Amino acid sequence: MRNKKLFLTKAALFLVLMFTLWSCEDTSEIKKHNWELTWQDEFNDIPADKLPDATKWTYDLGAGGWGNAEWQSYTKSSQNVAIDLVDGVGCLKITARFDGTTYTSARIKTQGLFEHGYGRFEARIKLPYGPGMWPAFWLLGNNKETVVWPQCGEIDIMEYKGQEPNIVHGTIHGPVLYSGKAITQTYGLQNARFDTDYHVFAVEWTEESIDFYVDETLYKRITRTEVESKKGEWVYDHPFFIILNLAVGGNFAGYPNEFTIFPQTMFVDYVRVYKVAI
Amino acid sequence: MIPMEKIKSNYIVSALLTGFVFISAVSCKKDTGNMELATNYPTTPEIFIDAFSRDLKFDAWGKVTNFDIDYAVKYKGTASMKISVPNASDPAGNFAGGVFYTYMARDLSGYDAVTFWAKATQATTMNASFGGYPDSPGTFTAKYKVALDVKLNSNWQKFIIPIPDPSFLTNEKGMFSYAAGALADGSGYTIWIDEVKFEKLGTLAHQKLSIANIATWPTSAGFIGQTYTTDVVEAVNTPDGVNVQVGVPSSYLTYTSSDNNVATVSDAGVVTLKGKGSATITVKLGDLTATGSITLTKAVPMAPTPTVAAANVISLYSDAYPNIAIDTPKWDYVTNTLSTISIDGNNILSFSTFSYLPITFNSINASTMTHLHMDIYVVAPTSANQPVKLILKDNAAGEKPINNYAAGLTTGSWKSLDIPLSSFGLASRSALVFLIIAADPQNPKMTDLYLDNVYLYHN
Repeated sequence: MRNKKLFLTKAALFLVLMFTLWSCEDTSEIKKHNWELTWQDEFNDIPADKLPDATKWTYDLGAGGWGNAEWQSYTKSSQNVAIDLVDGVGCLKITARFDGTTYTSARIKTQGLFEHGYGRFEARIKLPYGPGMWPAFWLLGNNKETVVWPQCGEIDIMEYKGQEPNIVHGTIHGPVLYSGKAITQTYGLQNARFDTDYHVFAVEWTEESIDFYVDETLYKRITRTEVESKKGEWVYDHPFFIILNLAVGGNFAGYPNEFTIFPQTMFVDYVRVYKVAI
Repeated sequence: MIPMEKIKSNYIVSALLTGFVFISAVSCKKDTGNMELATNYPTTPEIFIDAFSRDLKFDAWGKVTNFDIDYAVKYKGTASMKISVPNASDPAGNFAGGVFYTYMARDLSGYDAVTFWAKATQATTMNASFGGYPDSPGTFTAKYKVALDVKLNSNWQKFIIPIPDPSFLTNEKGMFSYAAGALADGSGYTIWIDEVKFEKLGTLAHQKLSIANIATWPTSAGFIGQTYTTDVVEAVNTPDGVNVQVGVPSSYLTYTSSDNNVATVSDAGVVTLKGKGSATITVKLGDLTATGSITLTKAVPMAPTPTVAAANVISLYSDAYPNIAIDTPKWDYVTNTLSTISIDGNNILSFSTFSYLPITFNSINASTMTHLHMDIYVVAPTSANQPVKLILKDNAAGEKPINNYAAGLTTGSWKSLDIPLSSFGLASRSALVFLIIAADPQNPKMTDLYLDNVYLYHN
């Protein structure tokens, strides 16, 4: 049975919200979506080998800089990627290690296993810290093998520099809009950091816009109009796959130095993907 | 969980602009209104912004004219503090230092750091601290003093001195102090410091406590009564993702020992050995803990305290009597490594690779003395009933040995020797100049030993 009083309160709140939005100078409207969970990994089942569920995740392996002059070599060792209990909670740990000569880490992806367009992609993550740490939760177009990047499209739901532990970056890359021209936005915490607690990083993606969230806060909406006004191309109408990785060094975050503490771990409590319920 | 304030960004602003918005929001929106007031002391955070905060006193150290206010060079606002570090040869003082402190104590328990901006004409290191102040002429209170060596260069940089546990700073007068000396080549330079204040950053993370000198604690044998300090450091990750490390004074800490029969620990963090076994020393700073363990496989007691009246003694080495001046020269075939162990005011000579020990002194008249006393503890190797060889030299009567003296030394315990001086067979003892104590050539010879209470006496 429906609680009428609660409903009325909600309705009143909604009106206030609508009024607030309408009275804002920026008239971008936040649509209320009715999300339906379509894919998830809660990382709660800890397998004997500690490795991620092979039906959901595959690996990018090796070194070579990954196009960004990164220093790490990606492995699929449980030293670098593991499902584990942390403070009683099952999570995915991606750990960057340094043995004095070699940096190792991990990069896992859903390519060929789960690819999806539009909807809400979210992950609850506690980030590593220290100069040169470059963790990311991002999406790449599933046609990347047939069209050259950035034509396939890239949506960086969360990127972060370990030397700025209170700032995250949300970015899209596409034709024209890549490298220094990518559309990007930062979001900062005042008096808090992303490496001390879990935060939910999400995009809500439709045929017209991509909204970037940290926890409940929408901090950037990138619209088809903005992309086209910047001479870009809206290449975000096909399925993308998910990537989680922790890079060490590179063009984005700079490089580790003697002050960087190893090992460093990116803790992922869950990854969930929603589609709009019909 | 740290409560957070979120900064909502305008959708339209570019990424670059947002960076600036973010930075300015951090530096200007400082809400101190909801801090708990633990005392009636003011909670004023400012030390120096463009002028000194009210109620501030300043004492200079080193070259006392080192300090000035600069209205031309500043990080922010209208002025900065300018420190002229003198040349090493400056007759007016060879370093620059100063302390800012208040007449009335402040309650700083709502902050988590002292922060400031600084730069210098030369890349150099400056020591900066809070929590120390001159209490009265000639005394300096440093109960909650925390210091950090900061590396300055020609760019303005923000420095953070974390407060280990702000709840102790409810009644604090020591606001800020600095000290810097000349460069390695002896030349002076200039430092500017600005925006010095207490802050509640909320962005200090990953605090870790450790005992820095744990490697000096005993893992095998130790003396009962021997003391060890506990040097506690806290590593704190600052908002640039990098750790700073500060020494934490005992006033912030609580110490416990898991077994007071093995080792006790005082409120000042002084560990005292008590007996054989293992003990864990635990240090707590708020919720943080550091531990260190002490293992005593052998607890060595002190040598027996001498009981002969001081008037009847010529003492060469003892804490029970005034000693005459002695030397322990490295004569031929002396292979000893000699160190002094000091335990609660009691000094013991400790030897390894022992061959023989000459003890020389200015000529003494020991005519009225009847005995030579010494306490010896053989550490290694294991043996029983070990003899010693002794030699005494008198300027007139010459040098006379006692070979193979049946000292009855047994490894692992103190032996008090009282040797009749007549045994040396010297014709006179009015001008003694040296004594030699040697390992007697038997197998195995003592190599590691302790020696104490070497004196001549009569009853």
